[in-house]
Amino acid sequence: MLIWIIFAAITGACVIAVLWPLGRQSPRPVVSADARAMYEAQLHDIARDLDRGVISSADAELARAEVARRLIRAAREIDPASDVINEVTYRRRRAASAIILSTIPLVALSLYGAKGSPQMPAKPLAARLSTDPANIDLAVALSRVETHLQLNPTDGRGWEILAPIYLRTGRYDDAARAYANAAIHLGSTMERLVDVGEARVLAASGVVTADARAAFVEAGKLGPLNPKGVYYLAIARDQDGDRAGAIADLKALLASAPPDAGWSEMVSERIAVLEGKTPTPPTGADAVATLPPAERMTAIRGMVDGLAARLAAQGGSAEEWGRLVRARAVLGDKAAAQDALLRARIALAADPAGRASVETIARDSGLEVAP
Amino acid sequence: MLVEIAHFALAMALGLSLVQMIIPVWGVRRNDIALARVGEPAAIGVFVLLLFAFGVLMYAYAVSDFSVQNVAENSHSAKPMIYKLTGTWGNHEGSMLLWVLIMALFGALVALARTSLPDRLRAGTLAAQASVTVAFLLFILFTSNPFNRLDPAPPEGNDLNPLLQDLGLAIHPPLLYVGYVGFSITYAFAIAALIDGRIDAVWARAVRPWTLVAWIFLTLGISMGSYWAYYELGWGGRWLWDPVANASLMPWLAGTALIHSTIVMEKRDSLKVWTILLAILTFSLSLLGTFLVRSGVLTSVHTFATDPSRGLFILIILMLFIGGSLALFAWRAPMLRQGGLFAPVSREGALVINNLFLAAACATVFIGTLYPLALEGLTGAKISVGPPFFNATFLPLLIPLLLLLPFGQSMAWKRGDLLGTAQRLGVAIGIGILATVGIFAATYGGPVAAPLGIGLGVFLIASALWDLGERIIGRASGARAIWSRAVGLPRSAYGSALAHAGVGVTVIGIAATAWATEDIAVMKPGDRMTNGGTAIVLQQVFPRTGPNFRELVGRFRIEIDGKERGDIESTKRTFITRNNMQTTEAGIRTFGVSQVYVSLGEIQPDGSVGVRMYTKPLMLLIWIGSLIMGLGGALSITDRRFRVAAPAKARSPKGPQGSAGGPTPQPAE
Repeated sequence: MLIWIIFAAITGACVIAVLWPLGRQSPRPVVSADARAMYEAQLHDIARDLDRGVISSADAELARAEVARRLIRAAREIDPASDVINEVTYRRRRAASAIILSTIPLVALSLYGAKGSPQMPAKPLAARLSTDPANIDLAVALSRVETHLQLNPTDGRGWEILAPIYLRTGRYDDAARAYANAAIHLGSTMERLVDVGEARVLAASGVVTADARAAFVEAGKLGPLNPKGVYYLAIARDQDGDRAGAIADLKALLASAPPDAGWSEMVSERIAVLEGKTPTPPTGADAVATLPPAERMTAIRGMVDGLAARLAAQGGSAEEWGRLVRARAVLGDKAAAQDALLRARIALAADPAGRASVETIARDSGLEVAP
Repeated sequence: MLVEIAHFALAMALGLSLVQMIIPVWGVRRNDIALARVGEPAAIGVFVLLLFAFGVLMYAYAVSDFSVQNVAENSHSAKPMIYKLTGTWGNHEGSMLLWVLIMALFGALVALARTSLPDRLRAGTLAAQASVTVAFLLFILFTSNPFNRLDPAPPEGNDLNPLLQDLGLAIHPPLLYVGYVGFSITYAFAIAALIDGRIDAVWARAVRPWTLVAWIFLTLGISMGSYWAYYELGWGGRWLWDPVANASLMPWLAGTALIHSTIVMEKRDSLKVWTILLAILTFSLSLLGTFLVRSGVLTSVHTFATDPSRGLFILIILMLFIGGSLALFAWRAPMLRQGGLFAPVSREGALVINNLFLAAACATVFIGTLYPLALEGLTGAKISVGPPFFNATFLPLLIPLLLLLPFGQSMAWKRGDLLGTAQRLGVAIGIGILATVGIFAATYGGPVAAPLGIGLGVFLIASALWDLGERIIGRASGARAIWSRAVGLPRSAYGSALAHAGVGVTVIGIAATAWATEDIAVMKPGDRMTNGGTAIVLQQVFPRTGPNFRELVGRFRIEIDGKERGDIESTKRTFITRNNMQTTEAGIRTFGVSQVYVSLGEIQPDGSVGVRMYTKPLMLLIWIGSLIMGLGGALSITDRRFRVAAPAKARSPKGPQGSAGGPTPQPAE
């Protein structure tokens, strides 16, 4: 609201400033009286120069004559009829006032209205950083740390702070690199190398790659592996075809778990999956699979919401829209699924084939598809 | 909220400019002072609004408000504060805003110049200038709005092109813009005069200080840009004859011609049509430069971002203002009253020759710049017009101009005496020849043209001083008489002498580049590179961290003639905020007016570095000369006849001192 009052004040100030000369009933027409003044000053200067002896009297006479000629010419050009102020003048000034009164606000408001964002607050960086830590702008903080580390790449402590943030935001490759850098600059420890390995596993969608395994093996040389390391090596064993060995390792891990260990549930679930008691989650080897169920659902919903936001903002291919519709339906959120379908049909208006494929997916997912 | 108010102020400035464009013309046509006067508060209002908008944009840069798209695209929170501020105009949108701000500043100054301008001329000028402002404000609001917002705001900005993260950005563009845009005022004066059909000595006198201001700033802007390129680009050159440099040279040449032709117009009431045409052409060339640089036709560090819609918009502006003004000129110019006559050999004649040479030189640059572009546009063939072309065409025009300059400077108005002038210049000519021969002998076996160039420069300086001395001392005898004549001499006489001497200084600096040396070597710490009496020893190579870059520093010790003369550092910077873009920061040490310039090249795997060493004898004179020219211009502006109308001591058939063909005590410019 305040901003509109300010706009109104600016507009008012401008209009008044411009109307000011019209309000003054100056009887003086636009004449070149200034020219007369200039030539008179020239005559005066010639007299002064003559007094000081800068020019001779003969030259001064010639110069005076020249100035006088120019003065006469200038005087002849002044129109004597223009001194009159009459009804026409007043009418003209009223018309000009009307033009000014309408043009200025109209132009300013229409142009600003089309392009401005009056509701948007300023976002200076300092304000975005100094908000209380609970709801700090994570992206801003992240980029600050990143800049710092690019300038000071040997700050291992910084890498160690950065790595879990990467992990949480799904930038697993970056997380692996950050953990590795922390290990290089702070010294390799068992924990750090296990973290490197875990990040590599997550980057590979849950597959323990050769790189990741090398990290776990290396960590094992530095001390007894922590539960996380043991867990991933067991998964690796299963990948190599030794399912029984993997189950045995996991069971041993479970047995050694302290009663309050948060990870016990995850391990026992994994054992169940390996023993064939629970079907493998449809997302297969996805990193999400290694999360406990509650977190997994949150993570999946988060990913789907992310996809929805991105498609809404930037649009996307028919395939992506199809994926969103199916995901919404599978998660049991009918309303959201219908909404996604509607958006997809709008977004793919120019792509009949793509629209048809999304509609097929919707029908297969049990949604109502209006013709 | 401030950003939004600034955005509104920008839109409001357009509204006010429209009023400023329309109402005063109406007032002038109907002879109504009240309507004609509307332009004054409007012009001041536009300036205040734009100043506020620009200030807010600068503030947004200072506090890194990345919700402003322009800030997000061109700034970075880790950048030092000075570059955050200068970054305001280190991009397309911000620099266009600076452009209209300066235009509005000139408009406001014209509006406030109550005593020195006739009413009709002021009203017409403000209206004509407002039309240019309107076009550029439309351009900014529709294609280059600096106040576009981003929601959500990105966490970090893109940072500024590292080449621009330099103090040069604080100096070069504002100076250049004041120059470019200053000529919009002379353009507006010309349009106002054409519309009103009244062009006389009053007009010339009113225009002259504005032209001088624009010319001074353009001179300094070009010269500082050249110095910036010299030390920042790491190639040790100063002028590449590249299209961007040419784009600023063309208005300078035309503007130089303009300040000379307005003298003739003011003193002798002639050359009116030509002067008007020059005023139009000078600003048209400024616009053309803007178009070339900003439309993406040319790609350089000045281009910022290419966007076809912008190019089209500027092209339309260009056609509208150049085409429109030339059409107006063709229509109205024949109605102008012709002024006084003069003999070919006279101060006027000399100034006409000056104008002819400058215009021809300008045309040469114009062709050399645009022909390759036109050819590429028409046939797709890429040709490069570089220094060989300009050396073969531009220099033959410039050298006779410089040789004739001192003659014109000391010739009498209306009817001059070539022989007498030559006799008076005898001493200066002698000094010039002596300098040439002396230097040729001292550097026997070196470049042949350089001593000639130095001789020319010395001749220019000597004749400027000689002419000044003769005016002061002349036939006066006794210290008192000399003193009173020195005081009585108008400041513009000192100004012109200084400006012409500055040309001489620059010529010497350019000529001396023939003796510059360049050496390249791969060095390891402890290695030494020698050329003549100058040697550098690589002390160490070490890394260092800056606010938004990392750099590899090479530290050298300089020895001149076997004596240690301190250290010099050249670095290779990697800007981590800008995709690890690399720049080279040359190390420069100044000894007198000569410089030693060291630049780091490739870093070899074995730790050795490529190093270029240049020695630049008398190099600084190039820029010192341009500073002197600017100073001369400034002195001329302070001449009292621009403050209060004063005499044009015209029509005296002989010099008022009575000495046949002798120099007049008048300002020579």
